[in-house]
Amino acid sequence: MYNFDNRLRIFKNMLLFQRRIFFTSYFLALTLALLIKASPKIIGIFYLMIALFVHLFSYDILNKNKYYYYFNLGISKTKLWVSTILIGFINLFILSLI
Amino acid sequence: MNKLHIDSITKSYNNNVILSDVFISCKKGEIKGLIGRNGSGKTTLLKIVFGTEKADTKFIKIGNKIIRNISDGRNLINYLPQDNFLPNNISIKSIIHLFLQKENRKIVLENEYVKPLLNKKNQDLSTGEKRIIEILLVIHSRAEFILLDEPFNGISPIMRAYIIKYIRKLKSSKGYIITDHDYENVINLADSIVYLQDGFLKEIKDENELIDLGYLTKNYLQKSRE
Repeated sequence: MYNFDNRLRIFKNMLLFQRRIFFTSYFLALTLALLIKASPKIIGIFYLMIALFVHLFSYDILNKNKYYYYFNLGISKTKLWVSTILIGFINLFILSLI
Repeated sequence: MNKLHIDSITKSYNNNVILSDVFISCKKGEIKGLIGRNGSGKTTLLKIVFGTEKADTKFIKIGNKIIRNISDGRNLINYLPQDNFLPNNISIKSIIHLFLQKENRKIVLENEYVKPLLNKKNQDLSTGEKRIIEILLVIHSRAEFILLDEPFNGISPIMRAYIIKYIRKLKSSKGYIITDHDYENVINLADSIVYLQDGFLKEIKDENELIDLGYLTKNYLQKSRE
């Protein structure tokens, strides 16, 4: 039970980290896609690329110190980058099914 | 796991030796004070121990577990950085729920200084308020060893006294390594003091040694004792 609670808490914290990246990147990807009338798959590709930039810009450049919140939970920078890439690919996979 | 063992820490930047074969240990229930001049490498040392800064060589162990990176130190070492690390756009109450384990939340949620801030967001708090929340979160985490890097930054004298008393009260359950620019804060709180200079650590047994080391002047020490 303890392990489940703990894992759920870590998962929620990863979602908290991704929240800002997700909404900003989706907004930018959709705006760009609307301008060039792109297909859903292209929106997914835009999202993946933009999310990487938003992650880099929001955390590694502007708010480096915010990483310490996640480090103190045992979540490394590598895990956070992997989560950004993973969400990007899952999103791309879902959109390519449409 | 009742001892943090830090050994063989070496770090240089551009051929400039910052830390040279540093050894320091901290037991559970002990508060170790780390002092040194600006730029002496105190923060670098703490970051190396926590795992966010690379060292040329390092050996860190808690009990029998060797700590190589942040993931190894999960639930074992927590670090309070100098600057604010709380996420924005989320209430303090939610941060407490997300950061702390169930059994440790109540004490922070019911803290007299935290209670009025629960529905506010990090970006709406003053520097001192943010610092108090951060300190309480780190102290009440499951980690057995806490590294506090200038915890009293931006905190009023009353709150400083409160935090010192608070850490002393909880001292038996964890080990602490603390640095601060105001050496009096460290001396007030710590059981033992180590001084970092030219990459080497020296144990301080008497405050007068700090005059010989050029950290304090005789006049300053006399005034602070008055």
